Amino acid sequence: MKIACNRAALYEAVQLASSIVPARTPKEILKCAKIQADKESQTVIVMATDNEITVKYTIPQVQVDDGGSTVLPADRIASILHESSDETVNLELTDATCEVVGKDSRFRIYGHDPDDYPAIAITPPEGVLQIQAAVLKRMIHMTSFAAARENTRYAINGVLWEQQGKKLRLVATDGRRLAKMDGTTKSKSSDDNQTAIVPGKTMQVVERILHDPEEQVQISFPDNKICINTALVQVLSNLVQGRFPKYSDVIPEGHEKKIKINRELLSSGVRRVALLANEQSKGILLSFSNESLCLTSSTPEAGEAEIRMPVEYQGEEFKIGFNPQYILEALRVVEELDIVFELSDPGKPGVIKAGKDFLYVLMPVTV
Amino acid sequence: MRKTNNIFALVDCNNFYVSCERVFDRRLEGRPVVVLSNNDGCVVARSNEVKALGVKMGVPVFQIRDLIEKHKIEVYSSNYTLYGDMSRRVMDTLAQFAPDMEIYSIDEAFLELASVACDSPDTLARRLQATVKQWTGIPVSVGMARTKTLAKLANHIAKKSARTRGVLNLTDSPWLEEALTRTSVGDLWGVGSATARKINKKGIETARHLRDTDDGWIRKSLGVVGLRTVYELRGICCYGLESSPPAQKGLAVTRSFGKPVESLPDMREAVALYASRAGAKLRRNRQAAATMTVFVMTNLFQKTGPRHFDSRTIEFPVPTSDTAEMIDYALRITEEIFRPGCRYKKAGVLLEGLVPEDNVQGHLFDPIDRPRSRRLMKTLDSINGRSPLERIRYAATGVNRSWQTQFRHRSPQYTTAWHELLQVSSG
Repeated sequence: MKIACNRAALYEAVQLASSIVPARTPKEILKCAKIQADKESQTVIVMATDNEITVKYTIPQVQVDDGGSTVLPADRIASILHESSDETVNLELTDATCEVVGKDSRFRIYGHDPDDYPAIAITPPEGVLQIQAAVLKRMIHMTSFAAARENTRYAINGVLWEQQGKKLRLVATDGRRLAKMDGTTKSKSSDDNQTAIVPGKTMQVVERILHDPEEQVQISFPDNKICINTALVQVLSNLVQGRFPKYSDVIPEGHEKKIKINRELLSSGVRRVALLANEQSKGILLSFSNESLCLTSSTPEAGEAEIRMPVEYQGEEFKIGFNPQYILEALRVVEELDIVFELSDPGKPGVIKAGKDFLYVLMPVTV
Repeated sequence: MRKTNNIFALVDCNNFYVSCERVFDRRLEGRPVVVLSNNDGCVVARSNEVKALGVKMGVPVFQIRDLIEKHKIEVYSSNYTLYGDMSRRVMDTLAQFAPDMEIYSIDEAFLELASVACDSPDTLARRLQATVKQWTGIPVSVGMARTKTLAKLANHIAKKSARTRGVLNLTDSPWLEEALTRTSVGDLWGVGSATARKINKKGIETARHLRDTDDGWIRKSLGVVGLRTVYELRGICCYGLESSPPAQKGLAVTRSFGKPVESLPDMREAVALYASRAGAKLRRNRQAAATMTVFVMTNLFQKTGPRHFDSRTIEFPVPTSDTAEMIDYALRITEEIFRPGCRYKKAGVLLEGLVPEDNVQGHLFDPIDRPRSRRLMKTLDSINGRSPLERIRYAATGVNRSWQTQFRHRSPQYTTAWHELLQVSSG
């Protein structure tokens, strides 16, 4: 194998691969990325897998003098490319040793035999649904933060995808809050229905590969897997097996109190008042009265904080406690100038709405 | 850095568990007495007469069988209900002498005496000592100094030296240098055996030598905690009184069994009981737990039969103190970790991530009606009170409990159970 390649393009592909490979594994070869050059098509394909997710990144416009493949430690090759300032790098393979040659540098890296690398077969997509990259990226961004990280209830460590005809809905929850976002697809048939739970790690990878906002992303669900295809990248991932909680039961409706608040103002207030939130309960108190919101927090050994701000609310005085982190994480992904807080009872879940497609449910903390 | 004008007094009950037994059985006065740990395994309290025989703290009771026979040592199982109640009486008495008080352990309290109007701290200490003895029957020693570390050191000497008659004041005292010289670093408050070895390696043997050691070495070798100890030895107060104890972060109920547990039903009963007791303790502290660990273990030193230790930790959906919920999770774990054929010696329930019960993060998919659960637990606790009799209990915790920890030599619960009150008869 002998290739000359744009360093930035190769780095991007290898960096994506290094985000997939497991940091610890009994199989050393799984820490590697497979680089495959094809002389005929003048392309290089970078592949990586952790046996749960597989990515295949195609780099076009590469000068391939000799085809072939090599398997190299993903982290190491990514670091070398990151530190280099060359515009182009050359990769040359001799036996299992790969030389990465720059203008003033030469790295000799010991790789593995490509035949030992797990077989990677990503079938061409049968486009069950097509969605604009910008829409999908925003849907992922608005929901995946709310998924559980390492919950024993395994299903909530992923994000629920529900497709009904042209509608796609993503839902994530860790049991204490829930984020839901709706989007529109270009499904071929309005009868297509699909439900899947996609692992959190896969969601992060997919979000990373959606560069071109105008691009149409192809998504299919073959054999308990999800396959996502952009022009350059294919991602194949196992789905989470399990039953996602019946989320519709916990989305409250018919709230009596609807409060419109400036997002920036609320975010700043919550961030500041959280500085004195009780470390154990991690709760802050929101007190709504006529056209005003008062945020308070206290820690017995440290002190108290109080911040006031105007809101659009007219009604009786109302107090409710929330974990400030859960409010902030929602406000961080919202782009609208104002959000609407919908509340009914200090012991019942509150709702944050922004735009017509995003809904966020959060359970209160007793403060 | 300025020296402080505080006067800290450390009041420590002498041989507390033994003294509690002596209050209700006067024939024990002057006789050798030991109190044993749970399951009557090891010595946890000794009278001075037993200490004089060379019996060390924590020694297994089977190793001193001959001494017990030969010197007619009185042996008692631990009676924590009695000791807890006697401790409360001592602390209530102490609270009348100084408004600022920190209950440091079941038998120790720090008082701040600088703000107390009195002729002299020594007179006050003598009066306090006499009052506690008269009102509760418990003898106490008092050590006074400018810092808590020095007060602890003063108390240590007051207990050992007959000349002090149980009270030593090292506040601006000419005896302070002598006391520091005679105290080895290993006897200092906050210096454990590993730290003491480290300090000794540097050639520092006494508290006085440690006090005069260069700050740089102390900070580098012992960290800021070591530096605080040294400052305290210099009379600079680094530890104030903690009048409200810091919130507990964890809680454990673990017991050795009276006889090895070999069957799953017995183990389920034991673990359910420990979970139930842990829940009651949590509610008394007005807390809820975020996680629970259950462990089971055989005697890891046994030479025959399989040895086994296993544990599992779960996170509750919502921090809880609900006994039924805790038993439910504890039994699920027990089923997972119990291994048939093992002779289990001990099991336990550990609760962590404790939060105040009124500061709890709710859960969207919580299957439990929390307000109802709180009402139920409140009712349960009001029926049972603090009585160990368990008037009402969960069936899962068993009825006969043949595996239960044994207390063969336990004295009556003189102060907390009507049917065990001390009886006085004439003639």
